[in-house]
Amino acid sequence: MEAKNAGNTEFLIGISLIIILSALALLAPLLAAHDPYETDAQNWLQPPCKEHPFGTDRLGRDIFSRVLYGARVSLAVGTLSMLMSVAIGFLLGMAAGYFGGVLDGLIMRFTDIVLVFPSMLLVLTLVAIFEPALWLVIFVIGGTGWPGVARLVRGEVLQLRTKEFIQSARMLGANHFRIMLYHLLPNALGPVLVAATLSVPAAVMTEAGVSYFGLGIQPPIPTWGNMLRGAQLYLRHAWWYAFFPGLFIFLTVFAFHLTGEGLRKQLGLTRVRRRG
Amino acid sequence: MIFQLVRRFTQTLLVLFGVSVATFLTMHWAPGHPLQANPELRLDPTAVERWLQLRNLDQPLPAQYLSWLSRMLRGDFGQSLLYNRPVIELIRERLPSTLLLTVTAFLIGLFLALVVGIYVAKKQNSWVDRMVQVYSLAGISVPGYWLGIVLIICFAYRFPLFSAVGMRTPGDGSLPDILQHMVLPLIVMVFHNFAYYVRHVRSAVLNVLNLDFVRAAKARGLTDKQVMLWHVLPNSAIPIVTIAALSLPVLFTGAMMAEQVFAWPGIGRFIVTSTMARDYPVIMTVNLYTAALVAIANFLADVLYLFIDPRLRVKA
Amino acid sequence: MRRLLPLLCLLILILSGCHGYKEHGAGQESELHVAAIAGPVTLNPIFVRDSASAEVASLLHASLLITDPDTLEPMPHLVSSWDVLGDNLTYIFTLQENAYWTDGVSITAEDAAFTMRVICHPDYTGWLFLPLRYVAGAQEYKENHQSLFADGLIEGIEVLGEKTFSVTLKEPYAPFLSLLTFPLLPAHLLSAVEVGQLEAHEYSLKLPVSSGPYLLAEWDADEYVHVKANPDFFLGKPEIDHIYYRFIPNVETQVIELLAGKLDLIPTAVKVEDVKLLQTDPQIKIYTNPRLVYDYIAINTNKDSPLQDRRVRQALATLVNRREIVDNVLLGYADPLYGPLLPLHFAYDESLQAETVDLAAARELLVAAGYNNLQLNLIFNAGNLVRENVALLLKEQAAKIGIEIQLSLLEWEAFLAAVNEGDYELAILGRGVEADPDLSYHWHSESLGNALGYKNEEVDLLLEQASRLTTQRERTFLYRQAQKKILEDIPAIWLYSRQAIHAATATLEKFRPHPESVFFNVHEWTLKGGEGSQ
Repeated sequence: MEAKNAGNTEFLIGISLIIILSALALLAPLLAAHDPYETDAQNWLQPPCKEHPFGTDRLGRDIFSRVLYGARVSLAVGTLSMLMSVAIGFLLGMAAGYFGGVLDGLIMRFTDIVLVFPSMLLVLTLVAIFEPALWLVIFVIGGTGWPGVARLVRGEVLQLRTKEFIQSARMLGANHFRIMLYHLLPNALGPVLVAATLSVPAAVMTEAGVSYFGLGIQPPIPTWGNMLRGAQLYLRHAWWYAFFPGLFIFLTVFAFHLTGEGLRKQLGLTRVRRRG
Repeated sequence: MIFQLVRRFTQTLLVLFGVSVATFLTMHWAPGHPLQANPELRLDPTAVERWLQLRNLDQPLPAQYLSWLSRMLRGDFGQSLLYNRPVIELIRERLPSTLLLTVTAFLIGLFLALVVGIYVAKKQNSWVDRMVQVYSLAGISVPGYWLGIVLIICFAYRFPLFSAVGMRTPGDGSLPDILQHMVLPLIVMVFHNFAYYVRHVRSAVLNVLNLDFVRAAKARGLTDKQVMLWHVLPNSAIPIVTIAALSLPVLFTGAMMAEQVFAWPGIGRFIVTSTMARDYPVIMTVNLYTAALVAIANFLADVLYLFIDPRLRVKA
Repeated sequence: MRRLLPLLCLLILILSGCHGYKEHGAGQESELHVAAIAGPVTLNPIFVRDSASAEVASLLHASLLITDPDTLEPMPHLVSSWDVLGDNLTYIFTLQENAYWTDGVSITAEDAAFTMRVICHPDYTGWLFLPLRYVAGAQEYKENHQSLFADGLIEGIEVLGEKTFSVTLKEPYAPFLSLLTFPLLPAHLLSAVEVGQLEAHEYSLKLPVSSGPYLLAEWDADEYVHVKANPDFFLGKPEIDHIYYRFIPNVETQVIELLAGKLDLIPTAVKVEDVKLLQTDPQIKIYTNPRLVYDYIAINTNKDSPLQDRRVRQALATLVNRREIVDNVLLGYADPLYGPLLPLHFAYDESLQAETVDLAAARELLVAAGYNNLQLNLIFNAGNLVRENVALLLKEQAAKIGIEIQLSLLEWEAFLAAVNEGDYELAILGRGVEADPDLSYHWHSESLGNALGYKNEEVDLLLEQASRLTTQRERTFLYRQAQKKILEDIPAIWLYSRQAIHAATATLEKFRPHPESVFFNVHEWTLKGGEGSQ
């Protein structure tokens, strides 16, 4: 199929972008010349200039600083909900694949149920019913993003379970936990890494979308989604207001997709995975 | 095969059952009275009262669930708390415009993906192929509402070529008028769908191209066209159809974004405004509906798979 | 691919040529396209709860009385004239002789009596009972009426003839007439409907019969309401034949549509930032008018906190720079406000104007109250940029005198819950008030609308006295006194009253918005010259 070193370029570009974006987010207090909450009633909707490289918003706040601080929120939501998805998915997938039988059936049906709700709709509904807050957004995105990982892990485990080294470990008296931890986990790591990488952009996208609809993280905390929501009232006045937050959503999501795709190719995994 | 069909069918029924339980419980656990929600979107207190009565809150949970489920099964999805009208009517009014947009975007996206996907699969690793691969990742990374905003700035404001709002000019509603209104939302949706499908088409075709019998056919001296038409396309059709069936949630999310930005009078925008207003019966019905649709589409995709791909029948 | 490209270009060219140009050529029917943020929820005028439904209702229904756009005094409308009997308790109303329902049935006193019975019925869930609660027997009807229908009689409401009826109050109530601004329901159509079923009744949706300048032609769920001129309207057939009331949630795209000539009027909510730009466009005309709304900072004095000390509240009050908010945030399209009476009210006190920002004095007050520094919590709701900015400005100002204000921006539901339960120290709120300056609803200690729990017996007494008097001079005196007393207690910091800003195509003539209704004189509007807004 594809050459052995395929995916290198994608991976390198993607990971460099991720590193840059993370650095921007982490160093936001150092890099941002302005307090992201500080208003300047006179200088509202200033076009990009030396003082404000991305211009200012309607309250005179520096968009560059707000975009940097927004990166913190987006990446935090992305990473934390990814970790949550992976943890849940891993546990459930592992349990389903390893023990099989009724448990497998139950877990897989549960997975199916979560999977049939369009994630955006599900998150929107849950966030609307309960109160929108940062932790809830993370919790809901993480709590609904795991089915992909669960299926992947289950698939891997199903394949590995019959392999000789597992059988022999079993014979040697290793307990289930030991087998899962030392034999199955390392082997399933590759695909899970890819799935984990690809679940970050999904989370970032969903968070931004929900915030754009006005049901996510609320202002004045800057997030890219709620900045875009504010910006759509000033499309004609200030292209920069809508342009930069959107650009950063795109860059972040794109970077993770590139990295995930690169990883996938490097690990030689196939793309289309049949459903369990 | 019958056994597998039955098995998949029961699984789907189980999933549908689970979906109904999940929806019911979410509604049950929802804190707060819907009347406290946004006063800008005032709910009708009689409707809220009636809704609370219908829920039989004094009865045990399973009884509440059963009465709710039986009403759902009879097609009674309740009344909107906001509009005081049957939810099903409100949905039926908005469904055609959503279908118009979504189906068109789906068809255009899939068509483009087929043409381009097959083309680049044949020319693997050419520069066109690389471009398409980059695009396929970039296309799914662009937030639809942002693209919509950029398009509005460019093509409705700077160069006012197309309408940025709604489905038709009031009082007009002729075909060209509707088409003209569809252009920008379609671009947003197709930009995403095309990128999503083209990856799958490309890899599906590539997979078949690398199979032995295709190579053998080539070796037998068939022309590229003949190989494509007789061997590659029929065999890559299955995964492509599956992908198309499974992309329903993606299409739905895309419609939500596009409808919101362009004030398109469809389900997507309706569900966002209903969510803001905490119009619980509407939220729950739309959730239930879409989830059931997706479950059924998945089931049909599996059935199709079973019928077409003999290997799967033997397995399991 | 390459073959597709020219085809695509051609398609784009064809489609972009298909703009929905509106033609108002001679002999053709004229159309007006009006923008709205949201669509109406109901067309039944006595169940209106949202502003969109209210706006559409004013197109489709004629109210009993209207108020003068400048003085806000009651004026005849569907009621052509009235008499007040000597004791100021009994009003005799006469309906327009030529007022008909759109199905040709005459609008009668029985319709008026029926509508008021519906409003007083125990099953009625709309918001109109408040003005009728002073009618003799209304409270009893609401509490004791047994039938599911709006039948029977209310003691104070009497049908005297086909077109005349009388309403008797249990005590004199000066604002009464200014509150009779609701339309009627057709009794011949709806008297057989249970009141509890009325809101969900088909009438609210299809509106087969109405009484206003326009009649419903089509209501398309999420797109528009199309109304056409009512040829039998009692003030004459409106000049403009069709009005399309279009729902466009994003105010920015509304302006884009206006500039593209696809909209003719954006009522009330044009963004202040757009005004300058739109004013330079010769095709567009901007109108502004004051409104009966204001924003204020509520101070919770019922909770144990430093805010119970009047000096602390005064320190805060002297910090707020209303001029700066009005000039920089609202770009001048608002009136700074120093008390609960609005400039539109006849009782408005112009002398209450001096700006009092004085940091040193504020600091002194704080120290005098025994605080060197202080932490306070300010809540406000998401989605209102102006209030957000006010919160940030107040925070910056307060920091200068040693008060640290913690901002918590709450989503609506949480915000309302916090306000209702008194779970806040400071809150930024907005409210709309009636045309009559009667302050009772918000400031009388026993009123339902007294959300702040404000209680001052002297104020109660003044307000009760004022609503029983009839001359404006006497009432003005009492309301100003009440306002002064309220201001001394500092239960709130008044901020500003925003203006309505309308943008209309220059061809629209005789457009004259009312503080409470854009379509106030819609039957007089005309489109000049027969050519549209292209």
